[in-house]
Amino acid sequence: MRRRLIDDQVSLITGLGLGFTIAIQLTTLTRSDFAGIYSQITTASRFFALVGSYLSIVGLLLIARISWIESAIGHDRLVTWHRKSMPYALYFITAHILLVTLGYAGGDQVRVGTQLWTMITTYPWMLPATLGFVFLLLAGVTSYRVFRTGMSYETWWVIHLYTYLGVALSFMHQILTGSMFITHPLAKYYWIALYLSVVVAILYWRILLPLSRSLRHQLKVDDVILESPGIVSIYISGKNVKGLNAQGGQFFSWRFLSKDLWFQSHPYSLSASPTNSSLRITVKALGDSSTQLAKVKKGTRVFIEGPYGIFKASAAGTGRHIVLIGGGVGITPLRAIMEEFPDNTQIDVLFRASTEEDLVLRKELDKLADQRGARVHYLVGSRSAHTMSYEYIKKFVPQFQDAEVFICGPHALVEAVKAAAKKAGIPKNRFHDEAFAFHGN
Amino acid sequence: MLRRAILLITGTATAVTGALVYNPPQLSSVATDSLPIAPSPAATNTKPSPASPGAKNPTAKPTPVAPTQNNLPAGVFTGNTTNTRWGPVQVEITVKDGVVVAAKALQFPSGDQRSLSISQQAIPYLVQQTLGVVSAADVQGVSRASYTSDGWRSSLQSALKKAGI
Repeated sequence: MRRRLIDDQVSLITGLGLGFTIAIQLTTLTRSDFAGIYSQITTASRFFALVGSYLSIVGLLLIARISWIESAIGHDRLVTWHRKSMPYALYFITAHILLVTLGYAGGDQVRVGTQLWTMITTYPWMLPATLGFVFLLLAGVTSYRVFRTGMSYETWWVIHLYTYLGVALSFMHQILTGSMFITHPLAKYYWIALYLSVVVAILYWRILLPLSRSLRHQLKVDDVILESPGIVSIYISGKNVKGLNAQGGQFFSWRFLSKDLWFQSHPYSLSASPTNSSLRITVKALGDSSTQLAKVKKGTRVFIEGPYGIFKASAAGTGRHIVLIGGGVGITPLRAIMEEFPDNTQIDVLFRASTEEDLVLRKELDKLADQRGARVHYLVGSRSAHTMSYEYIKKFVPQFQDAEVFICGPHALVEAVKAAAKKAGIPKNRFHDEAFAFHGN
Repeated sequence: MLRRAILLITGTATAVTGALVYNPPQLSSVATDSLPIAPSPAATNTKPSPASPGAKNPTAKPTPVAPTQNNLPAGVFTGNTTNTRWGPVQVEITVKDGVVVAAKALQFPSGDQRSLSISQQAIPYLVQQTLGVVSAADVQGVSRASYTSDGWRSSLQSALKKAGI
């Protein structure tokens, strides 16, 4: 109920902000803004500038890790929205630049190139704004799948960091030359407040809070254990870990302060329910950085951001039959979630893997199942042998249609189970998946 | 999804409507004599550039000189400040024997680079057009400087009124 309320509020406030942003231009329109085609082009360019900038601000707020929004909407969904909204910000800002150059050049009867050069070199704060746009463009382009796949996470991340600089650099040219801000103090204050709110949100939730948590709980690598070929569990010890309010299935962004790893931060979900003195993650050593993780030394200081995500036992309705479906290393957050349901909960675990070797944490799973009276179904083999269709799942869980489903695994598995759940008539609020919980690839 | 879209659109519509009711756009005219003269914050921040055509302390009072025997108006008269979208315009005219013999801008849009450059180009033409007029309506205005021209006419009209022309 509370989650729904916050979800609604976020939508409404985003709408109000967009309205005020558009109103900044609408209330200051005059006849001359429509006198002639070039004035109209300039007017349109301002609209694109305002809406584009607003979208970029919203895009930054979506990933600012504001805790009450995170816990209501879920990190993966916020990141999806960020990915969907930011390209539009970029398109709109590009349209602004093209149109304002065209409008001014047409009005002054000079060449477009000359006008662009004059604007960049003589108008106040235009040079930084141009640079800012280049930063935004780079972050945008490198986020397209084509470019991103050929790039290490770290490179992408650093380029993405420049987005903040890009947005900041463009601010002054808006306030100093934007016609709607020059004559309208109220509009100016609104705009300044908007930008300031982003700065404060990012400073607090992305920097101050994680930093103070990391320092307060004094997290250190306690042990690194090889679970099976290519899979390691990292035990992290700390003080008053319960104070983090982390639950099984949630994830942190982890930064190991060793010589080779301190500059990178990666999301991994907890693979065991946290105790007051320790956390555990289980990682498939595949990528460049996760291979290095296998070699991380005991005693290494660990900085965290989080916990994030709403993929957790408490997201389920009380008294429901729980079906946990994991694919390969995707079982790890489910293993942690499994621990946290009330004792009398009916639990079925469907564990998909291509080979016996991929059955990560099998022993632990069996032990837990034994303690709790849960059933674990190991579905080892090819995808065609285990279609994960509605009919197939029914063979193991006859009352699948009444269950609450948690799924974590490769995309194809998630899609197959999503279709099965739909066929079973399971509503969205009883189907839980979290893109960030799966780190198999 | 639909619920979110509806809330988003509701919010947008509410904010736009609210703002428009509070502060409707002035689409019919740019600047009129009835506009309040109190300088806007933007006006007080406006520092006339040294390159401006004869800028002077904007608060200058009219300084009438002794009328000549023919009783025709003479002296220096300062028009009201007219706020335009791009900044304030204030005109000062010098009248001799009932004829405007000189004009200058005490204030003009200069808050941003573009306004400043447009003002600097337009004001010499506006001065030319003002010499000898008996009504502000006779000032043709300068294209590409429609705001400044409108503001100029408005301020000029009040200056002419003070002069009794």
